[in-house]
Amino acid sequence: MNFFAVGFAIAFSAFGSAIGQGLASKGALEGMARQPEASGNIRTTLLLSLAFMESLTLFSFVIAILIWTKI
Amino acid sequence: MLANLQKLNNVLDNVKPRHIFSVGGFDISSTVITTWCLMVLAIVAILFLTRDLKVRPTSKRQLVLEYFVSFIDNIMEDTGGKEAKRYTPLVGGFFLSILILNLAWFIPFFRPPTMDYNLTFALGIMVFFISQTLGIYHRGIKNYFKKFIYPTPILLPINILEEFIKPVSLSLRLFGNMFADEMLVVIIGILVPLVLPVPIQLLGLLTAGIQAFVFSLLLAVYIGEAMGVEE
Repeated sequence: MNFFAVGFAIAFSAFGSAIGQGLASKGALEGMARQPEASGNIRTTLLLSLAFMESLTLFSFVIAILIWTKI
Repeated sequence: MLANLQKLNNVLDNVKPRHIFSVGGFDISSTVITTWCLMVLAIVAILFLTRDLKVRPTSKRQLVLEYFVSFIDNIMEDTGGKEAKRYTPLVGGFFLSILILNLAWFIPFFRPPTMDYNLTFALGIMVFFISQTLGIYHRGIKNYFKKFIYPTPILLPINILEEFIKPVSLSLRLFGNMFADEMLVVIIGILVPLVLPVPIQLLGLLTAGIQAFVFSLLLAVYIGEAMGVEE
């Protein structure tokens, strides 16, 4: 049963954050293509928001490890 | 193949920090020993790099140092205005130490100390106290508490909770990224021990840099927030 739990935890969280990161990167790329002079500013904000989205997946990764080791 | 799959069962034992010895009830694990070694390395490297600096840089090494300092300076100016530049040494120190700790992976027989949640949580607690202290110092005690009931007093519990979640998410992010990277390489190394783990470990170079950058960027954002730039 733990196999399923761990697999689904990672799969669903990766699904959500992949969509979010894709949308964020799309927006940033469009902005950079339209205004190349603002690219430095956009890149910083993009990295920041990507890190926030990434952390939600990592939370579920930690939960998955906790399930795996049966703590 | 079957023996390899057997190894997968206790893959977590491979990446746990090892207990070396105890001093008066405190366990000294491999994380601490690695950090000490890296501290010696970093101190020697920095002493070497900052020897005889000149006003007009003539050596390449001083140019690299000045590029790094202005890089952190720019981050601070973007997030906290001109006044936040006085905290450049603090944020730069965090950046360099996390980068060095992450890159310890590429020294043979070392594992990155940031893979241990104890270390990253200690960094998170430091960030928590830094942002609270700077908030009180720059805004005064009255304005500091006013921040918690900023739009309406109804948001008080959420605002307080947010302050405590910040260091936890910051440390979990650093730990999770490094841990996931190492885990991936260990598992691939067990399944396909030939050639394939190398490019995946090289990907860790990217992760190490980005995580150090994100950590210091968020620290800069928290410092800017504590100094009250948003109003």
